[in-house]
Amino acid sequence: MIPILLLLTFVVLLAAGLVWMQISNHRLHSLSWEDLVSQLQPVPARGLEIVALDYMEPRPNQLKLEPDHLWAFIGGMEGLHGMRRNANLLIALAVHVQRWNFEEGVIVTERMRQDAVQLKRALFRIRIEMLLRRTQLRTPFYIQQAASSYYLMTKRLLALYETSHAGLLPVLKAAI
Amino acid sequence: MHLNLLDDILWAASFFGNVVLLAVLLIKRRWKEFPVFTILIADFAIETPALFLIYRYSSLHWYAIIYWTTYTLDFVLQVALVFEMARIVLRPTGTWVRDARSTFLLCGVAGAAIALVLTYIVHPVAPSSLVAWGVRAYLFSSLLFCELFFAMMLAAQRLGLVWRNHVMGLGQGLTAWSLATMLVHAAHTYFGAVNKYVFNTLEHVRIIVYISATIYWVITFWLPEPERRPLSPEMQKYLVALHDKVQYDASQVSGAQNPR
Repeated sequence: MIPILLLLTFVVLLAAGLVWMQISNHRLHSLSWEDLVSQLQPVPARGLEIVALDYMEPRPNQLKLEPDHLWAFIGGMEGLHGMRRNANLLIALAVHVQRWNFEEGVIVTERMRQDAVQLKRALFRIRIEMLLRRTQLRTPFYIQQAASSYYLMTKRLLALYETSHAGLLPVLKAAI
Repeated sequence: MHLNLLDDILWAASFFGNVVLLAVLLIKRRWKEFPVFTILIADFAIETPALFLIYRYSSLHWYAIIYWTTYTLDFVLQVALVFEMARIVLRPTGTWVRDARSTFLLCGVAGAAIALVLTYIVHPVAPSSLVAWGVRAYLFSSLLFCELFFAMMLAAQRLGLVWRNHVMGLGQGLTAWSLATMLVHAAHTYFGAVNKYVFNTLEHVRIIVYISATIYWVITFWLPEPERRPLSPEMQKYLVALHDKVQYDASQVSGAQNPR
């Protein structure tokens, strides 16, 4: 009986995974530009910028930001969830630009995709550290990595729209 | 050997669907982007009437030999189809997106190992050990196909890759068909091959889902999709260099953070 139950569990998980993938794929594929922008989750942009710049542009007194400060600046768990959800939407918005500015759109999309990989990896590691309830020594590093990657994604996207379709820039800026 | 009217209708519909789909793939020149899928459909189009005729007019022995030979070929082509889709989806600019290949292969190998263990430990209800191994072969191939397909979709989703119309339509049809196949084969493992009524009913469900997927593919591949502009050789080179650089940077950062 146990082998059948194991098989059933595997089959159900695989089936649920496949259906979920198809639904989320289809949803992302069918969204218009306005839909993509409206689905962006609010994240603390200023806080993320502070954490990202602290990491990417080191200045004297580098220990100024304590782990608690980092956590507060990125908006805690909600901020992490927001970054995770927004990552693919930001990439889809960059893909959208390829219709007006193909070459730059392709390159910037690829760069953003690399940032998104770093972002998701950092978020995954934060989740694992929290799940295992280990001494969270590395969590601040991962928070900084996540914030930097997300910050870079938004900056790349805004710069791309500035050169490709400045008319949409104000709406995009407000959403990000 | 006895076939009822429903078997005849389903086999005829399946054959007709394959022929129409093959014609669409050839006429609309979709075979250029999907060569493995076209070969698989051509294989199905030839195999369905051949097996039907052998089943009707020849011995069970010959039917079994041809059936298992074509089954092995189908399985190889189906796995190749997943890799064909991976090539299209995970290489949108002609070069593998960083992490796509490793995620796909890692999940694929892990899932294949789980599928192998599960197939080995289950004991299907069957009149002989040969039939039981047959049921296991079905189960393993359907689990592996579903799992590889899932691994490919997971890699694409993780990287935020946007699917184009044709490959998305192919993926949606494959999801329905592979899920139906996997669930039917898992049910065969539980119910066994002894009760012919249950066995045939489940097979009918699987074939009906396949025919529906074929109709969906015919419509999908008949319709055009927005043209994709080709990348210049300079752009290709730049992207390869960009990927290499990011790969190197990532390994340096990772090495510095995890010195052990």
